[in-house]
Amino acid sequence: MSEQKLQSQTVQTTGHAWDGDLQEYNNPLPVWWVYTFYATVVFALVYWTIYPSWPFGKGWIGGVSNITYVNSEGETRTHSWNTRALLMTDMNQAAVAQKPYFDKVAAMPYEQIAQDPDMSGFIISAGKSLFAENCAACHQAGGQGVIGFFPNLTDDDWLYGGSYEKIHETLLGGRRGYMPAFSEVLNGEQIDQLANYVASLSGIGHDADKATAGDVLFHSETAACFYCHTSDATGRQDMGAPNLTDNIWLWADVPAASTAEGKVAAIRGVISGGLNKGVMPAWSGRLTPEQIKVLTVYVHELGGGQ
Amino acid sequence: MQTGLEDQLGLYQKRIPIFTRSVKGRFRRFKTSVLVLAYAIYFLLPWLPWSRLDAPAQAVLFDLPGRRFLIFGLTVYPQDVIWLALLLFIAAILLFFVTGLVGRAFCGYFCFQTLWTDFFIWIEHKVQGERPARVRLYRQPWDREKVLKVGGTHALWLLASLWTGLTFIFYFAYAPQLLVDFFTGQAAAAAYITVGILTLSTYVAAGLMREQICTYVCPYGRFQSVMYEPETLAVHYDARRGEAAHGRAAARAGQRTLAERHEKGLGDCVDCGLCVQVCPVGIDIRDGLQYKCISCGLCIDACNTIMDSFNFPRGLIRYDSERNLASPTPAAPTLKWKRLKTIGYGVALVLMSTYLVYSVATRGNFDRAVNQIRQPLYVVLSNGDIRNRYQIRITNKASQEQTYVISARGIPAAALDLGNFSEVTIKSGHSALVQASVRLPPVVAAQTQQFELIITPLGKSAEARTENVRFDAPGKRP
Amino acid sequence: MNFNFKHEWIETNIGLMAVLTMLAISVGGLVEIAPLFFIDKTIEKVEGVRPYTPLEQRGRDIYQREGCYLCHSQMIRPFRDEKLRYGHYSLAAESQYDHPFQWGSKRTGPDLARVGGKYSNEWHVQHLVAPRSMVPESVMPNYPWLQSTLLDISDTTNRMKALRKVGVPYSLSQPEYDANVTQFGETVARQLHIPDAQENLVEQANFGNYDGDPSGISEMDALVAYLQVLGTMVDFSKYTDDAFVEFR
Repeated sequence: MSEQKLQSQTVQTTGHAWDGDLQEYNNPLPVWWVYTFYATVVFALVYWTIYPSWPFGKGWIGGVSNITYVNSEGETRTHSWNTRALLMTDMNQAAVAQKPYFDKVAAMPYEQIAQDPDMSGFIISAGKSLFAENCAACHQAGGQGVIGFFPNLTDDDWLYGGSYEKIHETLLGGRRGYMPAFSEVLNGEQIDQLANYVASLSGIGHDADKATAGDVLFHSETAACFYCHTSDATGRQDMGAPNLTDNIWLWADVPAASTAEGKVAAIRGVISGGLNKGVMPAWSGRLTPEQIKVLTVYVHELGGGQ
Repeated sequence: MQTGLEDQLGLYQKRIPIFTRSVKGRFRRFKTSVLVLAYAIYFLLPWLPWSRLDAPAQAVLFDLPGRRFLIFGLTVYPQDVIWLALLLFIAAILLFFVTGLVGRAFCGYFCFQTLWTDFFIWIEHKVQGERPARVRLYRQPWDREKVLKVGGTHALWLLASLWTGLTFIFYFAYAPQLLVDFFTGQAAAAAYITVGILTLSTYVAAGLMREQICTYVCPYGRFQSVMYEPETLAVHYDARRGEAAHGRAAARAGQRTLAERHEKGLGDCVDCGLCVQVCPVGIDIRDGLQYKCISCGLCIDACNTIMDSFNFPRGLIRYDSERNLASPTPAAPTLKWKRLKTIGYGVALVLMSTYLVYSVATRGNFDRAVNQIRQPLYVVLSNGDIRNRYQIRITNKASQEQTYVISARGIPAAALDLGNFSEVTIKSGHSALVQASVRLPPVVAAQTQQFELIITPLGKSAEARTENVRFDAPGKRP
Repeated sequence: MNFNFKHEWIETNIGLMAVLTMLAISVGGLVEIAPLFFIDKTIEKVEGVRPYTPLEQRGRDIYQREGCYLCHSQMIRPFRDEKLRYGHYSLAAESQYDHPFQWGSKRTGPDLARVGGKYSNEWHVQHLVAPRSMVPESVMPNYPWLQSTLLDISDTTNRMKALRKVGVPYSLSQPEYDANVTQFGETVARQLHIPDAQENLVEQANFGNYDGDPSGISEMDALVAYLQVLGTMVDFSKYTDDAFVEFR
């Protein structure tokens, strides 16, 4: 009670009363608070001076802090502080740190990169992150692909060739696989015969009579399979026509089918419907030549390189 | 009303300065020898030379940029962190073990806070004199003498703190070079920051805060009570003997001899107060065992001196167990270790120390890790063969370059393909990654659950190490 | 410092208080937002950015309808990690015809500002139908109905008219069309002509066959067409890597 009296004597009120007797003290702000506020004002002034701040005419005041960087043309430029210029310096620094490795990658032939223990370590780590970022969405983290969609990069069968040069070519320009839908030119029986023939090439359970008929059809002008897959059905890498005589399946999910009938049916599906989905994007615009070279060696070393 | 109470108590208690009297005796001698030994090791070790091929000639060098710790002839790599973990475990168990036996021996004799405080008090004593002189100086106004003496003390403390901080960083680089670099402004920023922090913290902790570190900051002081047992030996005041029926009393005329005192029902304590004056944490041990007591034994020394001068038997304050003191017929204090806890800790200590020594003694000259590529776990090749791939990482821990040869056992020799590296040469302290693949025909693959990869340092077949690795094939389930 | 000022004036006059409050809080907007409309360098001067074609625009509508923006941003910030992962940072110019923009700040999934051309159409179709068949660790929901639902193209012109009202240069009249020809070239201008919108949409969908099913125009066609154009309009190889630094 006495304390209240004391305070009401020393502290001003705002001078108005609500509901007859409700008054409001006009206490000063705590000193630390006031000075902190002044400090923020000073901070703002300093900040305005250093960094871009006020709009001015058709532009703005850039502030006194500058960033100097080297651009892709090799010109040294200075610009008032901003995040885009900051990115330039960041990229410059990173480029300097990585340059020895990327220069070596650019200068060395593929075989030599793969045989240099230091470079091999760099390829494994840099390639892994490049692969994860750009390739794994389709070919999966380990490069094993998805049957029916994207080829396995770890086996020894290649649609377009597994040499360093061919892998490089695929990465640069992309690929587009195509096989016409044979349901438009062949009847169901003929397609079944072809499917049995293809199955027989890989030693899958099949109907021998149908396979024999399929063999003839395969090499005839009616179906003309041999144009792309060659007459011994080993495929043509220059057009991405797969080898039909090995155990590797991409478009027809033969391994998933448990019965011989199922396997033949999967092959029949591909022959009948054709394929227009073997699309590999071109990476030349997205990745630098050195990055593509790193990926080339990385993919080659995934196990299937030839 | 509340305001008044707060004013009285304050938010924390103001430190009452403690001016310890120096004392002579067994425990003082022990403390001094521990101090000298510990300081000799800490301050001189970085200057001990040790010839090395690939590193500065320093016996103990924590080479952080090189990711290795050179300790005499031993090189420890970060992957040996298990040794550090083990060492810390051993230290913790040792602490529990010792505390269970003889109380806070670590606090009283070995803790760096105690050592540095002891050293700082010694400096204070040398500059300002014995306790009465220091109390007088404290009360005296700030005249020339006080400014000189107190200023000199603090200057010496700061110097000692600086050298403490410097010595710490000497462990992380070649000391003679670093010393020069430090004072010529050439050392790394981290060096200056570390020295700055350590100088300041040493000065504040050992010079200004002293016992408050033990009382308020150190957690160990607070959880010691759970490690004490009734049989634990600790610094105790024998209250039964000291107080008797009518309490302690000064040795005035007529109560100077034991016979006179016992006749009057007085205890053996002559209330000289010396035990309080020598105490570095400023407690009165006669109030019983308390959490502030760091068990330094100085009060024992002080009391024994007085007992001797009166020709009373020693041991009014002594190491004794709670149980013995409370027993109706106290025996001579003995170390009782035949308890489950003590034996348990002891066994753990012996086992862990043995393992640590064994592990360090039989360390290999290289580390290896074999990881099977998990995605994909296996690949079916065009002719039906199954291939598994492995990443082999070899780290050369030897002090010179070494070539390693990788071979396989349990699979046909031709099945192992090491790609481009049939053997790999690794610099000291470096590691290399080798990609290996194993290709087996389906029939063999189905029968091969696992095989062995053998990594042999070239020319040192005795050091070969074998790793068991899995081989996966379709349709095979673990 | 006594101006004879009393709290009471404001505190007892709610109208005055509302006005003053409004003034106080609009300062931030006036200083930070309003000038952007008058500053020359707000939108980068860059070639190639055009309004979406009818099919892409319908895909964008589906993108919004399905709430893709709740998990995917379309805004690559000028940081090294983002540049390495997603590509060139986004330009203001690239979203100048976006109403509303899809910048976003929540990335449960990756940024999509430059997803165009990164993956094949087949990948997008399969991924939208069953994301985990493509990316095992994905938490994205399945959107199988996109493939089976035919795109409702009847209101395409109305949607474009609405966008025209908020400033997208879709043309209704011949002069507007001619202006578009000048600005974007004839091929693009034809796509932006509202009266031909339905025809253009059907043509693009049939030619592109984005969902791999030639039988009809599904919502998948539209969405994939939209995703495949994201971030591809500007050819950055025409510019030095610091060409856009001055625009900030």
